[in-house]
Amino acid sequence: MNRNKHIDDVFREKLKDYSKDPPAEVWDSLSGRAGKKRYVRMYSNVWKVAAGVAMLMMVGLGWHFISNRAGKPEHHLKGYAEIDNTEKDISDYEAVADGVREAYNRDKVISGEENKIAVFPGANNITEKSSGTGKITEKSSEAGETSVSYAQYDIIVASALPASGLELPGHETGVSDHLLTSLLFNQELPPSARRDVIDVKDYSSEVPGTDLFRDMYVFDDTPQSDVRRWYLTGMAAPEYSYRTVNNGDMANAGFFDNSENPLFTWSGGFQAGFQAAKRLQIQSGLFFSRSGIQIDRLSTFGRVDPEKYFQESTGLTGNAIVNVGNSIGTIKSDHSNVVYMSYNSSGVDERSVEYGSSINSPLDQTNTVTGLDAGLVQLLNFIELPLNLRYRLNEGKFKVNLLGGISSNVLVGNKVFYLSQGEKTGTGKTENIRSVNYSGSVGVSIDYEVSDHFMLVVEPRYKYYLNSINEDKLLNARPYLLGIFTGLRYRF
Amino acid sequence: MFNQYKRLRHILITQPLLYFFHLLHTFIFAGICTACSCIVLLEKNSGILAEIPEKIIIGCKKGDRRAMEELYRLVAPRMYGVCLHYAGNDDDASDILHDGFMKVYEKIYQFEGKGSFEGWIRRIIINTAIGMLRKKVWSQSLDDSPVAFEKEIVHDDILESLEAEDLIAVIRELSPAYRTVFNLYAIEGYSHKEIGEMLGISESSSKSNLSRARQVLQRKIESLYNKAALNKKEGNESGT
Repeated sequence: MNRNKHIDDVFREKLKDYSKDPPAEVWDSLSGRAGKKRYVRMYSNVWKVAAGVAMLMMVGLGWHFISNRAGKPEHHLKGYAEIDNTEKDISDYEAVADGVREAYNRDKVISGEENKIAVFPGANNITEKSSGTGKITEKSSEAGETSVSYAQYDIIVASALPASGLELPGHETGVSDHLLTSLLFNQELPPSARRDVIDVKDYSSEVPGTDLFRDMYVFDDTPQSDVRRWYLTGMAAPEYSYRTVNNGDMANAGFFDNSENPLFTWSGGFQAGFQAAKRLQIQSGLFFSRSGIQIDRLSTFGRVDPEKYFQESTGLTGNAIVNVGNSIGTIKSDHSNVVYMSYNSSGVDERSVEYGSSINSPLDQTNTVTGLDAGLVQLLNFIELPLNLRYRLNEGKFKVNLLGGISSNVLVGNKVFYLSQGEKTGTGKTENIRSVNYSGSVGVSIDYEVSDHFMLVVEPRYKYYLNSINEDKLLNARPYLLGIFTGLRYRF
Repeated sequence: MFNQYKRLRHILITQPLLYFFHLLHTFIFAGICTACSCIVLLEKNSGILAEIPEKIIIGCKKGDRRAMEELYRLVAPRMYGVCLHYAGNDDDASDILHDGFMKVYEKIYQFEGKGSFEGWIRRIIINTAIGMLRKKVWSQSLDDSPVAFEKEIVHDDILESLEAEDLIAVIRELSPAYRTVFNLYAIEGYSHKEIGEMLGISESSSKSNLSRARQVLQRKIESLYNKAALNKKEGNESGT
């Protein structure tokens, strides 16, 4: 028995009536039990962020109520399509509504997952089809009904021929012209409405129902639709960090400008924004902001090079006392034998008294002042909570915004490094810095829209501390930062 | 004396009667079991008794949820079977089933009772499958160059070892274009002209795609069989 079978038969016999139980999720989704939308969650474990966001929402809500005039319709029609033939069966408008949605989706001209489409075929019924629910409800316009709010729909499909039997209040003749006029007149179209005609001929062979269309209009309303939207941006920047120094109670503040130099640091974090009005956005967020100073003028009054203490501390006597011309805080050494003398150290550190008496002794020639070929880098880490306003200047793909605001900066850490011969060694921390500081920033933000939801952002910013970060009043030091932030913004 | 009579009666009448009823009961029970199995098997294999009751159709048209659920319960396994060999993977198959059934529920009032209801549903599912496949790069995989004739016969001994799941796995290895054309021609039985209309391709395109699909399937089945035979041989050798 050598029965050979054609391959077609092989497959047909085994697969034609092949049956397998489908996964449970399919029915769950069909029966509407499963949720359709996916929600993006913002993780915020830090209570400060929660406080900031709560504040933001309160301000945002305030703006919302201020900017919303009573009686203005909030929903606008997004699109309008004309169908040629009124002789079709009501069931064919199923295909029409499907085709409308698909045609708009293909051109991506109307955003939003739920688009309510109403079809006015010319009969007495209004066929409503909501995308996503798969249900059709038929409503009859009641006799004596004086007005129909078309703005409740996203897209209207209307007959282009004069209607026979359709009696919309106030419209006895051709539905489409009157309907469109009525929509414009009754302000059910967005204020900046302009007609973009989509050529539907391309779709007619692929999208059922579109062969019935004549014209499709899209009402562009991008600026308005931005209002009340939320934004989340992740950004980072290299920053140029320095400070201004003023005399506090000290005589020569100018000294510090000679001994200190700016530093390049970085910042990064997240911004959350709320579009409160057409051009105005309120932002908050959470940033890690690092500022720093490099101190190049170090001199020591001891015989010992402090570096020797970093490497090995046996067999060495005496302290390495280093005079540091720094304007920010007091540098405290990790190492017990190394002492840094900041601007405010005299009288503070016991060992400085020891040095003070020995240097003035003419008999002790071993204690001399020697300049060190080394430097110190002071880094201060802050967590910044900004509150900014952002004002948009133009429309288009590249949007330019002006921004300004204030932030609170909380000191969360700092480090001091000893720099010598290209090597960086951790050597201590800075003390006497205020833990909460306030800063103001101004900047320009350039957003480039890459898609409906994503924007690339370039944001040069200048941030200036409004208060001196030194706890004492001897010296007034206010850091400032210049940076160019780049990031990615997501629009909800 | 009376007791003896009772005992006699018990032996001659009651016992046999009981025995007889017991036997009858067993036969009836067995009969019912056999009948049930027959029904289940028939339903599974030929779908004869899968005729969907009229009231379910009417219920669905009215939007009665229970009727809709009943329809799904009756028909979804077979339709999922169809989706599985049209789709490239199980997730796509689920999507096709889901979207297809959405369309079925939406369009059900269009069904006028002419022809098989299940056939109508099957047509919708297949259209949904085609719609999904069209989203993939369609035109690139269509090939109009002439095809050399090759044998398209599968040997009997290979056939015996092939299960439906094996065939589905093999068919999924085809490109979407080959797979769809093969499904429509070999399994559904459409003509090349009809396939051309459904997919928006030419008749000759459909023919060449079918030939290629058959060749690829032929090769894959053979290698599958060879691999299986090799495994079996190794298994036998190591077993002894």
